[in-house]
Amino acid sequence: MKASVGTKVMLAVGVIVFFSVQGIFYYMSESHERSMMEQLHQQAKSIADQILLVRLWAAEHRERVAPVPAELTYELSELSNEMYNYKIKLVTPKPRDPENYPSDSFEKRVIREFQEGGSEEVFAISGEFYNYAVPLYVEEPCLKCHVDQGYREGDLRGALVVEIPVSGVLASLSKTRQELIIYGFLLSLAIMLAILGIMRMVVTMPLKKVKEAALRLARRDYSARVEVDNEDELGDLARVFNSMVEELKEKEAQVIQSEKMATVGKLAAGIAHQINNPLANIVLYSQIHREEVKNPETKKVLEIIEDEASLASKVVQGLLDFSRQREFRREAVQVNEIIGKAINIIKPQLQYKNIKLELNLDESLPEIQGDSAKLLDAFINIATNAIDAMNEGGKLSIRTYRGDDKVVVEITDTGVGIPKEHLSRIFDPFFTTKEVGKGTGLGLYITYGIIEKHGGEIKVESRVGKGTRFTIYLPGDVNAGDTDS
Amino acid sequence: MVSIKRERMNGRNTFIWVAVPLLILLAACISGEKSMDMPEVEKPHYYYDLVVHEGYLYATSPWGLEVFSVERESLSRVGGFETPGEAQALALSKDRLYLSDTTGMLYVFDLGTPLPRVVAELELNKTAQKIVISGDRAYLACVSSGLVILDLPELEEVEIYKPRTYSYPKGIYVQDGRLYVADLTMGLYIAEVKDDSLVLSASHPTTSVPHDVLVFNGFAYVAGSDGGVDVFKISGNQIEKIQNLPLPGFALHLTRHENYLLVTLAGEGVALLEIQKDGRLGQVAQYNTPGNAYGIAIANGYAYVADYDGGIVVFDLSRLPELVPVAVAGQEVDS
Repeated sequence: MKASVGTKVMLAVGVIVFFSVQGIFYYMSESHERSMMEQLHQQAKSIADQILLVRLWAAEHRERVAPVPAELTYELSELSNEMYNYKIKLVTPKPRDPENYPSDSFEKRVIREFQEGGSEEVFAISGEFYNYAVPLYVEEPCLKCHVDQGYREGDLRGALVVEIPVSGVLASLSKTRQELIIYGFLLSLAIMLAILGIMRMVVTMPLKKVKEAALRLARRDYSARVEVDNEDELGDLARVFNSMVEELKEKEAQVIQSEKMATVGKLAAGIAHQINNPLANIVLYSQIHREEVKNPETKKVLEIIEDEASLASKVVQGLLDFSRQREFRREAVQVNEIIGKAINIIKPQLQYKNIKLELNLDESLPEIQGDSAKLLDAFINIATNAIDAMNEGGKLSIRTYRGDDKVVVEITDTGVGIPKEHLSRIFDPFFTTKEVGKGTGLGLYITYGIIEKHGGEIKVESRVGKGTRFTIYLPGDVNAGDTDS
Repeated sequence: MVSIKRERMNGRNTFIWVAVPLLILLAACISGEKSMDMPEVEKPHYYYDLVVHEGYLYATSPWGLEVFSVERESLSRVGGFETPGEAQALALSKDRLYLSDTTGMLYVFDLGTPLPRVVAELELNKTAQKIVISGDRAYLACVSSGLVILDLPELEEVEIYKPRTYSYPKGIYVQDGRLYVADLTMGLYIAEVKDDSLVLSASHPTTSVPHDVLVFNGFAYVAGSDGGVDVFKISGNQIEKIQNLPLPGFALHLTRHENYLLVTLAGEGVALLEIQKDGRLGQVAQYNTPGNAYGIAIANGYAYVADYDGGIVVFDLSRLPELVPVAVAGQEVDS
């Protein structure tokens, strides 16, 4: 049988709470009973003490008190029975009155124990009565009347038994016990329900949200998020989950991109070999033929053929460059130096388009392991795209700095920006927004491949009309630079 | 021959079959009456009260009645009767012995046989501390209940007499149709016997708690526990206290021999008091017995004292006013 965490916790805690509450209530009940019995005991003891006092006083003042102590005891018993419903009785093995013989088992036991000299008081609940007995010894005044019974001073005369009805007390205790059981059960139930409610709010519901989000994620729904505001472990879990989804989304995009590029690379390599030579021949023969023909129109046509074929050849060359499994030369390179070379290459274009260059290079950058030629290509590609995006002047900012275990390169332009819908496609092969014949759509595609080859990352942020920023993260021993410096 | 033999055999068998059950039935009937054989008890022999009758002394003890044969000062235990409670008071009348016990039973023994046997028992539910018989009436001083009057021929309770709410008769003396009662609360009171009932005629408080009373020559002598003996002059319904004679111990019982009163003093033995011509008393002698002197009886020139755990102490009255015991009996414990 499947049970939720909440149910399991509720049942476990409920069982513990139930037994704890019942245990506490049982202890309370026992304590209450002990307290009641102690009260009865004290009451009985107090009555017995007072009766003993009265008897002693009556024995000492025989000339002033008409009833003998035995009759006084009997009459006080009658009165107390009438008024307070308890009885007092004198029991003795040597009675003047046969009524005073020990009659029930308690009285017989009392006399036996007192005769054996072992007890100062005896008490017990027998039937519906709390029976309490103290020994009654012969004192000097008692001898006036009882000396003819074989007594000497200090002998055991018998016992004074106080009988207090406890049916009401027992019924009350029983009722209290029943109420405590019921209240204990209800309290346990209430606590269980409260725990269930709290568990639902605090644990089950958030877990359910995580579960639903996980199921959506399993269906590759990367918009799945867990909205939990708890500042606790479950809140942390939700936040970690959301972060994980973000990363998964990016990683999958990267995987798709990588797969896409790998596919295109293989395809391109195959096609390039097939069409590169014909294209070279077209260019060659167009050049030869253009030099031989006199007709300017034909010459113009041949020139166009040559340009288009050259462009096609460039595209093919680019594909070949990207797909060619050329040995990656890993050597210690200084990123700032490569950027310097790239600036030298693009400087004419910057001047031509009246673009201001802003350099902010961290001179303490450590060297990284990489291929300087390929990184140069990558930086030139990004910078060229930036220049192309700034038709009416602008600013190209290049900044380098240390990140966490990374050397970071930011290339920012103040160009037209990239529409949001294009952002996810700019690294795709052949994707270009440039006019036909201006771009091959392979620059950023190749750049992406170079950075990936270096184990780095490339990110782009752009706002239409404001500009674009490419951020390149290259793995490097950042601390090494510190040591060197 | 064979058949004759068989007839003889059958006759003898018939005799056996009839005679044996009859013998068994007879034995059962005889044993149905309680035997006075001394029970095999291991209890110590303590004595509360005693009476002497025709060569036998009957004493009450915590376990029952003990019987001794008496010859002068010599006592020899001859039997006993176990009672459910402690045997208390004894009274004699016309070969009948009356015995009360603390369970409220009254036993009647026939003394016509060498060893008495129970001829009746009555569930009084009251314990008599003193029994006095006058004519067909027995007067029982039951401290906890009052003065119980019994009709002896019918052996039934006639009346309980209590002149006051708080009346606890302890000792009784009957003389000339008057009952002199020592009452724990009232002291000494006199009740007239009229038409089988009692009428209080006079009462007088005593020095202490009275236990016994004896009337002689118009004077009532009351043994008053730690108050010694009070002497009252009785004139018709007038009671005048003329003397209190303090005595050591607790004065319990009184008996008279000639002009002497013998008073048992629990814890202090026996006191010999001389009755003077004006009725007053003078102490002549005292003998401290080993136990607690309770009951006392005079017979054949001897005074027998139930000395509780001191046995039965015998005084030779011919030696008065010297009060010296001549024998102590009944202390041995049965094995």
